[in-house]
Amino acid sequence: MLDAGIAIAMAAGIVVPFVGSSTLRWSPPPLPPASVEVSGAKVAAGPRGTPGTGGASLVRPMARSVPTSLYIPRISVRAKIISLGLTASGAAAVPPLSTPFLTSWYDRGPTPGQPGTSVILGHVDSAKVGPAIFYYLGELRPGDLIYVTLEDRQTAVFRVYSAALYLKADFPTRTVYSYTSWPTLRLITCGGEFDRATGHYLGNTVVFADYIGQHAAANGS
Amino acid sequence: MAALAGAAPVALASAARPHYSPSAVISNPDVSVTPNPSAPGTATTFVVSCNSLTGGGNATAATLNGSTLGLSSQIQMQQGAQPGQFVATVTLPQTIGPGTFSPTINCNNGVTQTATFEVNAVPSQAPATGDGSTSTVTDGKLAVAGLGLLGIAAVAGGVVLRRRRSGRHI
Repeated sequence: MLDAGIAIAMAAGIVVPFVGSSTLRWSPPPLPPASVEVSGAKVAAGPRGTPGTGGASLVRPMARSVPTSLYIPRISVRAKIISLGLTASGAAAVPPLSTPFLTSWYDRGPTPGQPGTSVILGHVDSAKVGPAIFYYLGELRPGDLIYVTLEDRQTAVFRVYSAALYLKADFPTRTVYSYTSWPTLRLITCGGEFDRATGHYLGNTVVFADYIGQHAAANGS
Repeated sequence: MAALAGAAPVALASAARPHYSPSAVISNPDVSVTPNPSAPGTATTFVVSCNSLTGGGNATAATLNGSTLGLSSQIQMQQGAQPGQFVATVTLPQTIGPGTFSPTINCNNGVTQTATFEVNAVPSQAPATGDGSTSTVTDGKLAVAGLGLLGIAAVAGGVVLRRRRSGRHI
């Protein structure tokens, strides 16, 4: 009942206001425009927006090399990337909340620039600092660029083609994680309303990006 | 990995044993699997060369045994670009677990090949990426109250607009 109410509000793109929260230290994290894909049954369709085809045919995929740092100029993100696998419950692991500016790459999947879906996760917030590394992820828009530098000193360049907020309860793991024959990237953080009872956000912000090329890493980017 | 464990359990138990990457163990020049690693729900292509082993003669057909993948045990492969080459593309079941798989391919010239490849785990849950310290938190009763307020605000806004509009007309 409750969840449904929040879901409807989220679907309508409304940030539900609260009477009780008197002093908010931070404004809530920004949300992508194409908010929740809510449906009773399944999220069958892919994300909004069209993946570019340039990545598929014109650009050569990269060799496997573990990602080490991330640069997103639009939201001024520069972050280290650590390699993590799955949690016991089957979710992609994330760095501890005590290191809110670290991001993690899901190491059971392809490295950025390889064919397939590589996934990088980061926290939206942490009591230690307030806004965390992916606080502004929801502000990314189609066309924004993402640079991922790999261990071999090459940088994979991705272009955002979609961003969406999904309910965790209805998280479309296939849409987000399924293999793609060309190299793609997903950036994931939390979003939407926070459920104090469970200690979790009700949603995840997911940014979808296509690989558009590579270049040699230049001074730290 | 399973095959390796079966072949040399004692050696594997030894901590001193060097780590072998899967590709070093499995490489078979007569078989290719793409993508490798693959993943549940992923279209996966097997290409086999049936003629490279001596003495078999030319193969004219080949079948992939998909039973270990949760698929048919008799998947007919299509003729490839080269003589004796056969190709099959299958979609791995969503339920396939992560690990190493080694389905066999039977060529009709008597050659049997093993197509060893990895299947990656795909996360089945949404990740937990924040502790709510910046959110408009709160528990559900307040959320409902908030929704109620929104409704009231919308109605009130509508009334005000209508009054303004009608005011302009007069």
